[in-house]
Amino acid sequence: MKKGAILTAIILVVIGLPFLIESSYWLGLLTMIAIYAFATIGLELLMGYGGQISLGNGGFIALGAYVTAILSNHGWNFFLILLMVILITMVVAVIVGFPILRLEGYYLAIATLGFALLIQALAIAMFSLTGGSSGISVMPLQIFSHVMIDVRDFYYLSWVFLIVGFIFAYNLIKTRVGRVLISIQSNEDAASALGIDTGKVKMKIFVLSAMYASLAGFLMANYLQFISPEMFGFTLSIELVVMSLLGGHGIVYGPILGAFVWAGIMESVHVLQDYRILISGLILIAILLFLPNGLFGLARTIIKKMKRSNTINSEKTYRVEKSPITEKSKSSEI
Amino acid sequence: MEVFLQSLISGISLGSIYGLIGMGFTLVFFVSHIINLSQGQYFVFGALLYIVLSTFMPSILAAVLAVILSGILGLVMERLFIRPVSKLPMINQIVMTLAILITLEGVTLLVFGKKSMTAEPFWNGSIKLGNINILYQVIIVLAVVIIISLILNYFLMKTSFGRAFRACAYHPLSARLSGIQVRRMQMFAYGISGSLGAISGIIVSPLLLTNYTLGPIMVINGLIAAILGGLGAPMGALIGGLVLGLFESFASGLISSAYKDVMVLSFLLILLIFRPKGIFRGYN
Repeated sequence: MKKGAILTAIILVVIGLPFLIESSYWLGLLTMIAIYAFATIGLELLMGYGGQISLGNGGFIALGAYVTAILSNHGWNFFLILLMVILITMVVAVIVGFPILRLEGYYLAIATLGFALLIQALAIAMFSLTGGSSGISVMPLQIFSHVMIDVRDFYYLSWVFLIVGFIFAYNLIKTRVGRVLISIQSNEDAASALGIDTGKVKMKIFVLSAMYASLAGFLMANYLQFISPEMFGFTLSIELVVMSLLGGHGIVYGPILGAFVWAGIMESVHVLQDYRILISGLILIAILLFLPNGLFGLARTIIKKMKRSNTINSEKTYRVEKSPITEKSKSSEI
Repeated sequence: MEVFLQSLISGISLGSIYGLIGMGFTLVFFVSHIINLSQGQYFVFGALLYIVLSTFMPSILAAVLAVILSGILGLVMERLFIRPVSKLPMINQIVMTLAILITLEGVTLLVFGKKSMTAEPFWNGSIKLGNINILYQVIIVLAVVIIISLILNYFLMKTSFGRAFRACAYHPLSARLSGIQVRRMQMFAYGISGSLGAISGIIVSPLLLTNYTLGPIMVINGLIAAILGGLGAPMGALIGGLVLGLFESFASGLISSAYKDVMVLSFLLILLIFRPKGIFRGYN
């Protein structure tokens, strides 16, 4: 009941904002935030819930964007392109995921990064199809008879995607699949000993996360109307991870908050020109040092502390000293 | 034949540089099980520092200074930023090393500016071998890489410090119990790998236009070299680097230069899938 009310309020705000904000700069920024948040939700499902590190979701964004650009130049229709993006991503994600997901830890991280770089290298190399390193322009798409050209169109389109994607992810983690994912993250061997086909579940979530990323690529190509390989390098994949970490590990709301904060930081350091790289690096270091559990993690600890200070006063006698079991498990680590 | 020889020579010189950067990765991974993605920026920092210093002091002095300063930079970065996150999940550590890469890139930009620079060759001239020229500088690169890797190997295998270093890699807890300061060794590994990065940057600085953006490319190539070598022993990384260098130069010389990166990255993926422990199984 309460959650439904919050959601309705958010939807009303999203619908209302373009009537309040005239400037296309702010609407454009909100559009990009929605696109980033959408891609990061996919990563959060894979990384925050499934515990599988991916530095390669930028590669799927590139895939979605390039499929959109190439097909739009062939005069394809909006819904057909959307369908093709989904189909192609599914095929690529299955082909890539099957061998890669057997790797663990660092090797998985490097393999996914290698995949993202491979997609970028392919986009540069296949210049007759992709325009090479100089990029490719995207034809404006048509939904029924409405040609998408105004910022407002893209704003609404991407926020619809974000809200639907968010609700989907939110419900998914409450189902069996979500619980299985969390069990894989905490102990994969134990999960498979309980009869869970962990490989299959990992595969499903990898494909789903790739789908989120490539649909974000679809939105991005539509909105920017021009894409080039340099937009999809190393940095894009890392930015997704940063937004996910910034939001908090294993929290569905995290990516949205993370996208807002990170986009805000990136937009404001833009004016620093030559100092931009240094400052963004230092901000990133500060986030990692001082917010290891993200903003939601920070909020959670603050709330916990406040609650504890309340309970200490009233129920002081019931507090247990440090339990011997946790002490023991701590000391066995190095 | 000419193309073949030319590719062979450029492949070997390129590969030995990748190998040296890869050695830095391997050393850090060896003792602290972290892949230090900031590695490539020490290459750039060392090279640019050397180029600037060598304009007003003897080259040898400039090189030594650049190597030492990059090593100290590596130590400081470990102490300040890596150690606080060493208990956190791996993804935080990976992103932290990347954050250091970005920060150092920013520092390099502010200190040395945007322009690409190149150094005077240590020794001008070339050897003529049939129809192809081999620059003396290429021979110097090879010689330095071989000497450095031999020294490193000697140091790791024969000295007591090296033995302590290896103990930390194999079993940190027992190493700690026998009085080895594991944390200090880890810090030390970052220092050496910073210096190795700087050395590789300095020896190719006469052959390569260097600017502040070169870091990430070197990270990726060095990483591939290290993985080819199995992330175990430093010598493995050198061989891995040579394999990568030869593959890259033959692929671009004989097949297609446009698809060079595609082939290298596909090679990496295939390798990771079939031989995640490197091409020399059982080396570590």
